[in-house]
Amino acid sequence: MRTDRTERLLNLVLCLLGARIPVSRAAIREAVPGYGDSASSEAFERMFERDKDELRTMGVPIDTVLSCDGDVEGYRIRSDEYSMPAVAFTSAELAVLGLAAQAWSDAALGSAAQGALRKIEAVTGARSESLDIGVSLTARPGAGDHLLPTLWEAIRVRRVVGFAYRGLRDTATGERIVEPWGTARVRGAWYLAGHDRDRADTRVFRLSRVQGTITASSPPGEFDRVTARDVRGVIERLADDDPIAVARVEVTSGGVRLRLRADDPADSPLVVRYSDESQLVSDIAELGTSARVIDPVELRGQVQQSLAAVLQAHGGAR
Amino acid sequence: MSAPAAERLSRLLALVPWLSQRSGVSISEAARHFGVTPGELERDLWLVVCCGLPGHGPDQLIDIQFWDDDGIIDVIDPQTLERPLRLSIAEATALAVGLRMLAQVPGSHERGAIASATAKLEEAAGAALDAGQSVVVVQTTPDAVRSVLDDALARRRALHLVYAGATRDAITDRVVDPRAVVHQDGFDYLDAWCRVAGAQRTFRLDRVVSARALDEPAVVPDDLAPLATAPTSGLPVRLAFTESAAWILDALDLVDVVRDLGHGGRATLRVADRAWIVRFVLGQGGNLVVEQPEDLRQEVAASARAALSRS
Repeated sequence: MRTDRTERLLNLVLCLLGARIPVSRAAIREAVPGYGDSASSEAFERMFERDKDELRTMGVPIDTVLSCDGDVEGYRIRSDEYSMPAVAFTSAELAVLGLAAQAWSDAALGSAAQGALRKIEAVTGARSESLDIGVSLTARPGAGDHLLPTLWEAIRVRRVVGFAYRGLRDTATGERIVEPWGTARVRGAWYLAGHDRDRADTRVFRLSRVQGTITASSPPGEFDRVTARDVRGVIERLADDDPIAVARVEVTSGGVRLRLRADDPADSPLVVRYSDESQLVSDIAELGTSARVIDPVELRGQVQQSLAAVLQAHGGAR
Repeated sequence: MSAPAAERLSRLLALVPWLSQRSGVSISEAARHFGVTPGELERDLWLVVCCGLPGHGPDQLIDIQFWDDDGIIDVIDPQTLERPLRLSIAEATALAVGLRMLAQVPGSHERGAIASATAKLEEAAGAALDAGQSVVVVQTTPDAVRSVLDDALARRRALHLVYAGATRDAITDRVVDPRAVVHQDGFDYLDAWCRVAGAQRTFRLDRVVSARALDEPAVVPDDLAPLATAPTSGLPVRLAFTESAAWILDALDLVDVVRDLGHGGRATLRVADRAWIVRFVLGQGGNLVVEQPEDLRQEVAASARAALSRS
C-alpha cells in the first residue's frame, strides 16, 4: 500500500528531530517509509525536495549541513530550534487568549490563531476555563486581511514588497514598490505604512485596495528597522488633516455629523472648519432641505451641483 | 503543494504533546479541542502510532493507548514529540494583535490576565513576534469615554450618556444600565438597557459625546438576549455605484455584489431605516443610485429637487 503523505512527513520529522549527527539523503531514503517505494533515485529526489520545502513552509527548521568541501552532508532539525519554549500559562490566561483568537474571521488568520492556541495548550497542563470578562471581540472578514501574514513576514526580515494598488484618488491601478514598515488597524480597516520607492516618500496603503497578491521582491535586510512609534506617527500623520477653510451652515434639524464637527454644536448657524471639501459637501447635501450654506459661496455651489447630480442620476428633471 | 497534508501534520505535531500533558482525556474531548470529528481524531491516532524513529522497532514507535467507542487516551511514549513546534509568525502575530485589541476594549475586568498572557506569549513566540511590534491598533473610543466606562462597569453603576446616534440623526441624552462591551469591525459597542426606551440598546462608543457614571447601581434584566450584530432584515435596496463610490464595498454590509472593475457595479443593501438611506444617497453626488424599489428612487429624486428649489 502507498504510504500516506502525512505519515511520510511525520516520519521525516521524527527522523531528523534531535538527530545527533546529520542524516544523509541515502539514510533518509532508507529510514523513512514511503521513500523506499519510489522506483527511481530521481523520483525519490523529487519527493524529498517537495517534502523538505513543505516542512520549511510550515516553519519546521530543517538545517542543511555541509561537509568541509561544500557538499551536502545531511540534514537535521535541532530540538531547541524546533520546540516551543515551555511557558506555563494559567487557566485565566488561556481563556483570555481564547477571546483574543476571536478577533479574526479571515479563514487563514482565524486558523493561525486557533493553531497558536493549540500549541500553547500543548506546553501547559492547565485547561482553559470559560471566563466572562465583560468584553468580547467579533469580526467580519475584511477585504485584504489575508495579505497580513505575507506582510508580517516581509516586515520581520525587512524585505521590499511589490503589489498592484489603486488608491482612493487614483484613476488607474499601478504597481507599487514599498519598504514595509508596519501594519495598522484604523476604524476596522488594515493599512500598510512604508516607504514608496518610486514616489520616494512615506505612504499609507489600505489593504482592501490592493489588487491581487503581495510579493517580496528583495533579499532580507534591505532597509533599516522602523519602530512601532514611527509607524504610529506615520499612520496618525497621514490620517490627520488640518482645516483649510471655515464654513457657516444653517441647519434646521438633524445634522449630527456636522454638529459634532462644528465649533459649538448648539450654534446657529454652525461654524465648521474643514479640510476635505468633498466630505463636507456630502455631509451637507444629505440633509436636503434641512441645511443651507451661508458661506463660502463656492461651497454652496458645490452642494447644489452635488444634489443636481443626484437628481439627474435618479431620473428626475429640475 | 498539498495543503491538506500540511494541515493534518500541523494538527498531529500539536496533538501528541497536548495528549502527553493530559493523560486520560477522551477521544471526543480531544476531537472537540482540535476541531475535528471523533472519527477523524481516531484516524489521526492510528496514523501516529505507525510512526517513529528510524528503525521503526517496537521501542522506536510513538506509543499511544486508546480505546474505541470514545475511550480514553494515554500517551505511553511520545518519542521526540514532547513539545509542539514553535509558533509561526502568522500564529504569534494573530494572537498578539487580538490581545492588543482586547486590552483596548473598555470595561474589561481582566486587565491583569491580558497583560500577563501578552508577556508570556512574547516569551513563547520569541523572534516570531518581531513583526508584531510594528503592528499598530488605533482605538476609536475616546480616552475620556473609555475611563468612565471602565469605572461604571467595574463598579456596576448606571451611566448618563449624551449620544449622537447615526440612524436617528439627533443628539440625545439618556440613562442606561451597562451590560457588556463588544468590539466589532474596529468599533466598540456598549450593550445596555436604555431606561428612556425601556429596551435593550446598542451604543457605538465613538459616537458618545460625553459619559458620566451615576451613583445609582446598574440594574440589568436577567433575561436579556446576547447582543445582536449586523442586521440581516429590512428592506432590500438595489444600488448602482460608480467607481468613486466603490468604497461602500468596504463600509457597508452588501450582498449580491456585481463588480465591473473600473466602472463601479451593483449591490443590494438591507435597510432598516428608509429616511437613513435617502439621506445617505443624497450625500453621494449621484455616484450612488437607488434602482429598486421604484418608490424609494422617486423619494430620493423628490428630496433632491426640494433641496435645490429652496436655495
